[in-house]
Amino acid sequence: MVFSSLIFLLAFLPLNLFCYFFVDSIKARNTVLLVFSLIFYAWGEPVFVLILIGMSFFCWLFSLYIEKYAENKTGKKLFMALAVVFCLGTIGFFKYGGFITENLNAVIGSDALSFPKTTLPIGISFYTFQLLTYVADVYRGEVPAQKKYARVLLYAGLFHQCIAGPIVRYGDIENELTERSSDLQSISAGFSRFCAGLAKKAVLANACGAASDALLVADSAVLDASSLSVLQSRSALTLWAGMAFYMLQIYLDFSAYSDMAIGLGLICGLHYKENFDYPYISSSVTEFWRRWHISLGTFFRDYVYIPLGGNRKGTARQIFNLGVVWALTGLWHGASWNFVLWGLYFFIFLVLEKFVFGKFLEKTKALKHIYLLAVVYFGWVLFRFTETSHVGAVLRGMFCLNKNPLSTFESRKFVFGYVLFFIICVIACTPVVKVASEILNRKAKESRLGLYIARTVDVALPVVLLLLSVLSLVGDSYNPFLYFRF
Amino acid sequence: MKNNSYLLVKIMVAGVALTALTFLAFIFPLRPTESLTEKRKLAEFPKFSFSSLFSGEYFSGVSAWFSDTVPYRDDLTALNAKLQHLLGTNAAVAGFNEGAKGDDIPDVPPETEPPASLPADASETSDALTEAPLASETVSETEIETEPESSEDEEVTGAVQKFSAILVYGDAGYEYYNFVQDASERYSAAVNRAGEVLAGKAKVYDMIIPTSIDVTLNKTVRASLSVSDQKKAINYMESLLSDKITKVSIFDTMVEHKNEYIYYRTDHHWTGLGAYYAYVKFCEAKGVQPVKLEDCVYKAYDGFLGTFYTDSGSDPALGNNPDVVETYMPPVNATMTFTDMSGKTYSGMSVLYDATTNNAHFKYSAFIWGDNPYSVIENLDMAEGESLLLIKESFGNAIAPLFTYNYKYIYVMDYRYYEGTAAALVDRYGINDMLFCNNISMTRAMSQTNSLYNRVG
Repeated sequence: MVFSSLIFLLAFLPLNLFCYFFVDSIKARNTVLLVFSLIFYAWGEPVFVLILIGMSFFCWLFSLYIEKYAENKTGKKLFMALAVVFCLGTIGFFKYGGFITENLNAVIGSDALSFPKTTLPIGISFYTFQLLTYVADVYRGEVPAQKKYARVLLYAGLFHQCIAGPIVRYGDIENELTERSSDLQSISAGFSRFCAGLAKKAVLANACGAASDALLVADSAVLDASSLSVLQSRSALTLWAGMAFYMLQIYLDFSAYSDMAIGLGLICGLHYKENFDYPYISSSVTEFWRRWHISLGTFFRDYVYIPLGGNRKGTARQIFNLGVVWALTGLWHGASWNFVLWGLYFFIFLVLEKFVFGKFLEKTKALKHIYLLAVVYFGWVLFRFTETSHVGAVLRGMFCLNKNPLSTFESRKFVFGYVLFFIICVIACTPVVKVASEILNRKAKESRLGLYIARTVDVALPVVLLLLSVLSLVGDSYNPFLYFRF
Repeated sequence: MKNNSYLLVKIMVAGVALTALTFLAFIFPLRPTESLTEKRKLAEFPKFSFSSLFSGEYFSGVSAWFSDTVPYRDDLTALNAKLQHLLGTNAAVAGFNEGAKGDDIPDVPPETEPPASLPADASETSDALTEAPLASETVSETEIETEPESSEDEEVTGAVQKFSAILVYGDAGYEYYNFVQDASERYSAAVNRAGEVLAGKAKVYDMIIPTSIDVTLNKTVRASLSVSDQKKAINYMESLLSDKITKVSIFDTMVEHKNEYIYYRTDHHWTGLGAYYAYVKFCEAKGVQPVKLEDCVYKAYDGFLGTFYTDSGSDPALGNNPDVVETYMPPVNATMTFTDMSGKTYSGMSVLYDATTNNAHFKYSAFIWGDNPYSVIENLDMAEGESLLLIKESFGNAIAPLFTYNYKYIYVMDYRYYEGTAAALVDRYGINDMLFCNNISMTRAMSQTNSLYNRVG
């Protein structure tokens, strides 16, 4: 099930909230959340829900042993290694098995090796990473091992964040698993946040996606043999606009899931950390990755980069460590070389910023923003197409190198029609709304009228956004889930 | 108001809104089973089976059913379309077809024998010939709901996605056309097969109807599109036809009348007037006198919003300028018997149907009651006369009534739904003429040309 579906909004969620607030004790509320989370997951993955259950079980078990052998370095290491092998083995099998086999075959120049066709259990990269942080934190002695299996399962499988992030650290919600309350303030804030995220997804991101798919080529049609010739025949305007809408879509869509997760958490008294911080306003790639999918960046920083030595072992080693981190970051997004390339592409810019032109860039005003947007924009071209031939066709076509026209009657008509919507989406990618609401709240403190206006907006806006979202989802015409590769 | 009580109000408002929506969604009798705007049956609640449960199909089916059959869905989707137009995001709904090309249209027909003798690769169903069409059950006109017209381009072979797009220019929609060589050749093969099978029995005519994009669309705009040239495509298909076939080439005729109301703006069909000019051309080919337009009984039904309107995501450029369905009936007494999709037969019906009260999307059904697998029209004034077998998809509906002026019987077969064969009908009723009346869009869908081929016999 996904948040942006009517069955979630008009059946699952109301029922979940009703049951949640109907019962009183934390224990009962946790049970409600757990049962609903398992239904939520099984709705999309009736069989693979067992993987979630099983993986949580083993991580729970290994953590207990890690804690038991806290004083015994070998024992502790053994169980840590078991947990890592188990988690990465499972994700490796489902996510990377086919990819590895294919590449091994290419290396040995035959198709001797075969791998069973597997479908990727939805959200596996999110909950596996959550469980890994849990086990690692127990290993490091930063959090105590959880005695109750159900709580580990709840932590990993909580429907708020299980299938599309953020990657919540166990330590962040450890206490709230046993002690939390939902006060009016947090329920109110949570509802507003959820509705904002929902509208971002259902009204803005889906329409960006429809535009991008129409202009480029729909994800489902990418493997169609004719899609390459379609891309080659597109005008430059079409390709530029199509990628711009993709750039908007992926931020609005992805951050919307985090907004909804954070909102749902707040309603239940769970506080997840922010996952996106207006990444497109960054002025360097370094800054971009501090603002984009923060929970993934910090995961790789804390569990890969720093353990590898970070920047403490000399420049050469630091560059190597960064390379590893960025290749893995890329690969996390999907088992395909284009994602690895995408990761390494950012690696190159990060290294260049760190050692070559970072200082110069800082001194510029507009240029650094243009630079960042351009780097990210072309990065999305790598990300969007798993076929290198498609990437090439799009990049060439943007500069009319496919013997394609600069623009056509159809592309101009299409793009001009979207100008207003484009502006709305760009605004949604910046803190403009946030700043406006801060101003409104300041005014609210200054005058009675200001107070009424601020409160009316605060009451009405989320409901309006909810209604608009439901309206957009009726008939379910276009509602992609982008993270099936993660 | 204190902060807490204000928050309470906010949460109550939110709760009431969510609860109200939820209750509404769970009033099952309000859930529609079909969409009038989209002209389709909506998703049904899935049947339970363990295999569908484990594969996930069951739950995804429930989700699809839940969102597809929301109470008041057509009203809500219409409202959503308005929202999209406000935001300007409707263009993606209409689709985008830039630069997409069809196959190259060969200049010279291949030297191989015309592919008339190609074996049919779909199942032959001549055994399943439907029984005589007349009177098993008689139903009065008022009880009948006409079937919706469906757009012909749903199953285009090859790059489906690109070519399902429509272009909205000014206040009119246009369907893209791409030449698909194998499907086009299959079309000619189907017609040729009729020529062979019916040799010595019935005379076979073929009419390929161009669509508006190559006839009425502004020339400069048309020149800027990379879609295939319909005239060239029609010439190619006609060049493959054997000398047993009489070609009724109407492309130039339609172009001559392009400033008249010969195609709808909000729908992919031609109008009654467009069909009339094609009919005249047919009469020329046959060597008979056509009925004069001014002698026909004229009726008009306004407020028609057809497939382009729906496919464009309810574009207001179309919605604000609805079409008028104009029908022309020769001054003869005629009656019609037809068998609908469910196999029910209606006899003693009028040839044209009063579409005044029809939903805006269904006005084209005024012509011979919409798409039915099989119909027979009889001219009651004619004691004796020739008979015609019209093989058509929905474009043929608009032309069918006109033939009552020249024929005693007109047998109308919709090859997409009929289960018998033309050869069997010709044998059974001693039919004199047979006319393939097909719009060019169907010649790019292998599934349709195949089914046409199989209906020949």
